Amino acid sequence: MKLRLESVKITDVRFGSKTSISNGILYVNKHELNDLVCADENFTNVNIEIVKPGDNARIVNVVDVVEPRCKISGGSDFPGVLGKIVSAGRGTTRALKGMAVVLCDRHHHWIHSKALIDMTGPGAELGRYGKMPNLVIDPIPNGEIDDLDYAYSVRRAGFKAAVYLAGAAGADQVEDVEVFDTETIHPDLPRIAYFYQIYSPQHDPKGIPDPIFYGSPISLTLPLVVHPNEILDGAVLSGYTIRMMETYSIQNHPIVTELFRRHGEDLNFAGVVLGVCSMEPIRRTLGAVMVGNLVHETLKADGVIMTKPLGGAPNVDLGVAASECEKLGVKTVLLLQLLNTGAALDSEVLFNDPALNAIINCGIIFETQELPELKKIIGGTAETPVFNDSCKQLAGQPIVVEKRFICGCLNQLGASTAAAVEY
Amino acid sequence: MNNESTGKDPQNQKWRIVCYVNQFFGQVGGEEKADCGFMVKQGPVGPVRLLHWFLEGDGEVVATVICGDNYIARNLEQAVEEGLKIIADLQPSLFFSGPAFNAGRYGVACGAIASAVQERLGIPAITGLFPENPGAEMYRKRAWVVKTGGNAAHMKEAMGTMAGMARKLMKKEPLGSPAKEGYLPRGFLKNEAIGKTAAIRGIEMLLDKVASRPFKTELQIPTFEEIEPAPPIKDIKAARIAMVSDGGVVPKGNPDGMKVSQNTVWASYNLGDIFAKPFQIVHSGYHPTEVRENLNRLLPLDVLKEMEAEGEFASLLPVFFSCSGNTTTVQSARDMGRGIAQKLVDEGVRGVILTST
Repeated sequence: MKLRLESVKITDVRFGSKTSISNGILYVNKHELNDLVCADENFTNVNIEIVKPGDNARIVNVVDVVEPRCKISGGSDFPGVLGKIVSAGRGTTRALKGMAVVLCDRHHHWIHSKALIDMTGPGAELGRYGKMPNLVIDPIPNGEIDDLDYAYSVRRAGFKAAVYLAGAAGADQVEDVEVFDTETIHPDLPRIAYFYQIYSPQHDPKGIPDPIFYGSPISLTLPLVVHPNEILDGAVLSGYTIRMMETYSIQNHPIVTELFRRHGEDLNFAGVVLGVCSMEPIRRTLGAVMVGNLVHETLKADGVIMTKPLGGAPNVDLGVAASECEKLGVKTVLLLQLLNTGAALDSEVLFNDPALNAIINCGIIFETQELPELKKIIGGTAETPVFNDSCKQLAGQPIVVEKRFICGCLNQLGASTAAAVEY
Repeated sequence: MNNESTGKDPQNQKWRIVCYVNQFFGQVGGEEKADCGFMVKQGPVGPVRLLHWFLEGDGEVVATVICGDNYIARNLEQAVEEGLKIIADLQPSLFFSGPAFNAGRYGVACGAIASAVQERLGIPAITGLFPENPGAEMYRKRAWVVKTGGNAAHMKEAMGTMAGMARKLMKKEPLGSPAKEGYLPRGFLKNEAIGKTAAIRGIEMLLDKVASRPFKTELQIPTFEEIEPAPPIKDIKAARIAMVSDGGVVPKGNPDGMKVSQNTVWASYNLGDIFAKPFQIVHSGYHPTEVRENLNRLLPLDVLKEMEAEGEFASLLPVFFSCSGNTTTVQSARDMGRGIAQKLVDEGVRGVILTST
């Protein structure tokens, strides 16, 4: 499988009469985009805003961030969500680099499931998206709507916008081309696989799983082998609740892209096993045994790096899967986030198999950050609640939030440089 | 009186420093003098001269408080009170004890006195201990404990680190991580940006591990305490049964102030009331739809009532024990568990249905 990813560098985003790109500036015809994304009975209207680094603005109710991308050939856009289901990861995809589409959901009020983006101040310093221009898609709900139905509408609107914007880039504007494939094998280099636990049913809103794999829910799926290109090319998406694994970070997956980069240099990228956290012990054991077998027998890996979604159950699950790999002689490295600020670096891991002696510290998510009052609130109003422990502070005030709510600050997939340090 | 913002003596514009050392370093004598009580000598004594020298220009050691190791060890609490009073009368703006390296009695005394000074006199108190010294674990969260070598051969180095930390603390300059500054961790975690992303660090660590090259894990697996299960209930039909849940169910209004995560509070509530009146779920680690729809799914009262009526066990305790188990440290969980277990024993409960989420 071969994916050609063409990049067009964007330095600024502005509204204009025609959606087009000129000298790195993306001009957006607001009416045309509005007609496209507003065509949904769940919306009365869609606010479309542009924010730039340095703006005195805070985006709230953020449920996902997407990099603008469209298929040029050999596939469909966000298959299973927008396009028909064909394999992602083949053909040519064009991406706008250096900007993002931010999706806001004003409708649902599930606790601890949204994030914010500050465009100035400490929030902008800490988060990835405060440092780039963003186009914000902020629909207004049309009366009483089912939360999940609405969440799906927001996602479709955001992905449509992402495809529409990327479609403005012409072939002559492509500045960089990367080709992702692992067809050449280097027998002298170790085979490294990636186990990517993409979901935990503990977070299913209303007990209904999020459709995050080709637009389908895979809560009860046993581990499966996918091609890494599929992950980069829109097959795997963020859930409805953001939880530090936004779609932008999946499209630019830090482990998948790094393994590709090193393929042929100091390793062979052996492939990817996808998994879902199990909620009960028999299934957990079965899942772990299958991860071990797929990594060892099918991918024939010497080593596997493993990540998890937010939650304690995935931490246990990942540990059991890693133990199965080590039993088969496959070396493991696990990426884990820490939770408790009052803990120590040897008390936050939920397993104790001595073979699991290589763990990466991905930062502490409950550390709090003071953020100043910002003038403009996007994606909500100055009265929009911003979640903290008591759920009482409002977006238009100076606030204190845990780092996990600053979008792009911490990341489950290893995109962040933050690590927890004992003080 | 010292200037409140700089801690400096208005007379000479220097920090008033008081130090505590034991009889040996205070040049009173060896083990034979370990019973001697508190005494105060003017200015720096013995190794304290090094500190005086390190801080020259900014601070002046006005007095060295000396006391025998045994005198303090015999009644630690009382001796700390006595020492604290003597130290308070000297009106320091900065305090040092030790360093005690790996000396056990002396290390505990240094930690205890420094903790009391810092907490009760509100001034920086710094000691120096070898990490294995029992005083280190006991007091590193309460006073500043500089990490030292195992014996007095490391005196100059220890004093240098202690003085450097003191300068930063007194000048209210930001203090780096324990690893950077040389003190022992004080029991909390902070995020710091380190050069490479977690993804790149992970791949590099994996390549090292696969190639059997040395590597250093960033997180250690914990050592769990082995818990022996209680023996089976001999006569279940005569047993009293209770329910304990970490699912975070509380009466509406959350009267005990449970937290949705990192909770440390447990409470007991009447089962009849919790089923009859409005309740809420204080827990951010699961989606409580099913529990809200039917509380029996978290607290299986329906089934237990049936079993009680059929005589499967003697009686159900009319209250249940509740806490919110989400990202709780093992230490907090142990503390809550001990409290709940004691209540259960007091109520004559023989068996517990524990439900988690």
